[in-house]
Amino acid sequence: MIFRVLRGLAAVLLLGAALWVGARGQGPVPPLGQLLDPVNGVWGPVTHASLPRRAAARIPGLSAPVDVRYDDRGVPHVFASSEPDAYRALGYVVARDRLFQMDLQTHAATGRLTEWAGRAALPLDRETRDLGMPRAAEQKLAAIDTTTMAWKVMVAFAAGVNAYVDGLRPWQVPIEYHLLGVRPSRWQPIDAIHLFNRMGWTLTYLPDEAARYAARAMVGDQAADALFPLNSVIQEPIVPLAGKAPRFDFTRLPPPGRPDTGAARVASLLRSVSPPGELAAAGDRRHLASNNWAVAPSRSADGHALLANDPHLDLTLPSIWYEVQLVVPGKLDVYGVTIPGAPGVVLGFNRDLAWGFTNTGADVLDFYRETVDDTLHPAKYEVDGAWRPLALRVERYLGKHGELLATDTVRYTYRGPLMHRFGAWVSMRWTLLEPSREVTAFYRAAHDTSTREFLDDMAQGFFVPAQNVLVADRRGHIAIRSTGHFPIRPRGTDGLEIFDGSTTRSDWTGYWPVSAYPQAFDPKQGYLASANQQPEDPRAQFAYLGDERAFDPWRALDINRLLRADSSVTVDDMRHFQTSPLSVRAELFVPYFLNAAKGAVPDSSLDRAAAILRNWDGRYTRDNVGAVLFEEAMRRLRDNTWDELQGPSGERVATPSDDIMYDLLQQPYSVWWDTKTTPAVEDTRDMIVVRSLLQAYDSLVKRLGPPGAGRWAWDSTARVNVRNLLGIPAFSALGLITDGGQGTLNPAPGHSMGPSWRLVVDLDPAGLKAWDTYPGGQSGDPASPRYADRIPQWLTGALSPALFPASAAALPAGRTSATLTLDPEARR
Amino acid sequence: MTRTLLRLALLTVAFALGTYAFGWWAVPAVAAAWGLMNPAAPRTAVRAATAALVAWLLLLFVPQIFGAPIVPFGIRLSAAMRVPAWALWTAECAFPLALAWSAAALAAALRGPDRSAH
Repeated sequence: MIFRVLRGLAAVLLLGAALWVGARGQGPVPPLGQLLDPVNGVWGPVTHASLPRRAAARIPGLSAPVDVRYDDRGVPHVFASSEPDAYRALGYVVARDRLFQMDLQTHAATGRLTEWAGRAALPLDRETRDLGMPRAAEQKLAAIDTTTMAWKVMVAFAAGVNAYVDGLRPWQVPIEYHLLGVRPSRWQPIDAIHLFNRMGWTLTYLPDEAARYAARAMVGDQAADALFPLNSVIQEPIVPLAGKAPRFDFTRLPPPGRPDTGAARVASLLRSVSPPGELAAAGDRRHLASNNWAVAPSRSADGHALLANDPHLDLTLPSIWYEVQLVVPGKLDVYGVTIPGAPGVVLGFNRDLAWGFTNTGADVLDFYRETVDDTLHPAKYEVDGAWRPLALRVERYLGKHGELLATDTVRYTYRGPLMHRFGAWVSMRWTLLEPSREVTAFYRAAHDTSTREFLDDMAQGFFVPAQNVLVADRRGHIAIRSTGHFPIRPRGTDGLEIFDGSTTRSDWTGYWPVSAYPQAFDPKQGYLASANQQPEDPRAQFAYLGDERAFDPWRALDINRLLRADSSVTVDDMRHFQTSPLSVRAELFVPYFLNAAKGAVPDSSLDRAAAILRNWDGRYTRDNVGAVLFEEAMRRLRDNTWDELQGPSGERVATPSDDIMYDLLQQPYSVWWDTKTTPAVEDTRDMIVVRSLLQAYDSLVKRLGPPGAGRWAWDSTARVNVRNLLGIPAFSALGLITDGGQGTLNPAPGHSMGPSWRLVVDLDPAGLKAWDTYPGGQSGDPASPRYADRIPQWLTGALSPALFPASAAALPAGRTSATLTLDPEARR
Repeated sequence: MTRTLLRLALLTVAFALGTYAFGWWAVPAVAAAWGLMNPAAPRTAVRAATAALVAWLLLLFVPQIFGAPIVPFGIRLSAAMRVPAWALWTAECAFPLALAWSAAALAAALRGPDRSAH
């Protein structure tokens, strides 16, 4: 009897516990029922990891059936009879492959990650909402003219996504939802704006003025301003130079001066509003290293214009890009990549032209020190002697089960969000928070037929993040324009200071006219190239766009040299250029190491180090020994040279760029070479250069053994990591080996950023041809064979021809891997 | 004996179809129904648990035979969940066992406590 009672009790307890853990989860354990169910749980997407050969679905609002053909690379080619239908289908097919990614981006962009991850995500969400991003998206949405095609496109796209979400069978729910124990959300038209805001945040929220202020606190204003100048020392701008290029604008660096005590506080304040992560840690924007270039028919082997683009962004799985073609006969025929959630093709080509972006790196964000009525709980702020009420917005953060985690009140001046940092109330004006029309720009661009038309459409709608928009057309024209809203600041100021918020005299007075944008059309030199360098020669036209830390000259030197040297460029050359491991930066610096070593006291280690550099071909190839030594020597050179910028804790507060280092190398007896810990001025350039090389060699021998032992290979010290969006190593591709290094055109190793897409287009008047790849795959399902299938190809630098059929019938049957028929939902 | 095996096979099919159609909730539901219908049968709860386990394993591994990467993905999934692979598979087996055994035992006990202990 007791046994029966105990057994019954055990059954009750076990059943209760199993149901509880199955339905609700416990602590870090997600709901086990939803997870472990062999049909509808996490195994469902594994069982259905490949798209079925044939599928059909009904979408509300379609005017006619849409035929979607997936090619053998998993690219959907959408054939629709109207544009709204095409964008509806786009929403459906992107959701079908990337639903979780879209949802995650929206949660991140709206500051709602806590609803999935709980309290741990609160700091990230607070940052997003404190910056006013969700509010800005709502304002942008409210300003949209709902009679425009852009609005119709946004609505159609959302309807397509929601048709997929609403029709989701349990086994189609992506794995990540099971792991997190959450459900997919429906898509709203505003989510496209959130997505563009998020992209703008990545590419423009880089308030790196802090470096200059931190340096001022150590070495005074004059020296700091010289170490962190507005213009690049090396000029190879996007708008071709009038004279010989490149040009080196060397200047004598003034000696360290008296510390500016007030600057330290400003630097701390600015750092407190900087984003977390690699970019902030690196202290500059140079990791956002994208390339694009175009060659005019006069310099191409086949007499056609050629275009190449490789935007460098965070390398993630699934990839940031999704490849697609949209066809509406007689109206639209565009191919390229979209960001999942963006209602249109962001980068790509149509029948007449091709385009590509690189980040301009413009400073489009300013801070204002505000005067408020109450230092703890301000309700008003003073402008021109009058008090204005602060706009208040209550932000509520919910947890996984809808419980309230926190409530904040975010205050706004007319300039933007107000933040309390280091005892000061600081407001922010940022172009990202202002009206823009990206969807309109991309919609129109997809229809354009000439370079001029394309650039003008982009200029009228694409305001942020500012991009170097390169375009080439089938008639042989090439053009580039740095496009975006560039603020006009008060005369005599730049964006590097914190402005006085109590007067409207500090305000922006507008944006640059399009005619003032850096731009070039069909240049005499027969090619155009951008690689995040300073867009325009400051001697030709100086207007503040940002300081030189935003601009990287090295890849611009690399690509311009390659293009100058080749007057008969082929498609294959373009592909090889994209993955060139050759470094002009190395070529410029290595002679200084070798000359200094030659004049130094004989030393066996130094001789061996010099021999390695002497025999180095300047390439960052996988088994390269020289690249390993050079990068370590450069790191030591920075450490040994910029010791004046070390704070009390021994950490360097800011690091000048390597082009400033190159400038300093022209001044062998500058006091900057001297070690500050010794009282006398005794060190010269060559002493420091030799010391750095020796330290590098010795440390590498200690760490890796002698250079001949085989462990000094570049690929053993610098590898590529393509991380899963949730940071799950098992769903990531880590420790990948490829060529390239700092300052080369293919600078992926050693960073989590790299060429997120590679495109080469031959603008053949008889029919445009394109080749491309990206480091990932079309599917967002980690169990799918298409999750990361392109990575091996991407690592080798190979590209695949993009199939660009004008009709469904033109897609070869043998290249079709799956079909999807979308039918209008029957009227009720 | 044949009759017992047939009943067990039918129960397995019921678990499989129930899971396929209604999800994991079908396991305690089918097990409870089995317990209510067979309170006097020997080892009612154990049979329910066995049938549920077999049903789930079939649902998992039949797709594997047809090419779904269940096993290799299971290894990655366990790594993603930061548990050893054996722990994931143990949970995968233990969960239907626990649900089915406890639901069947409880139902049988409620229906006829005197006879279900056989």
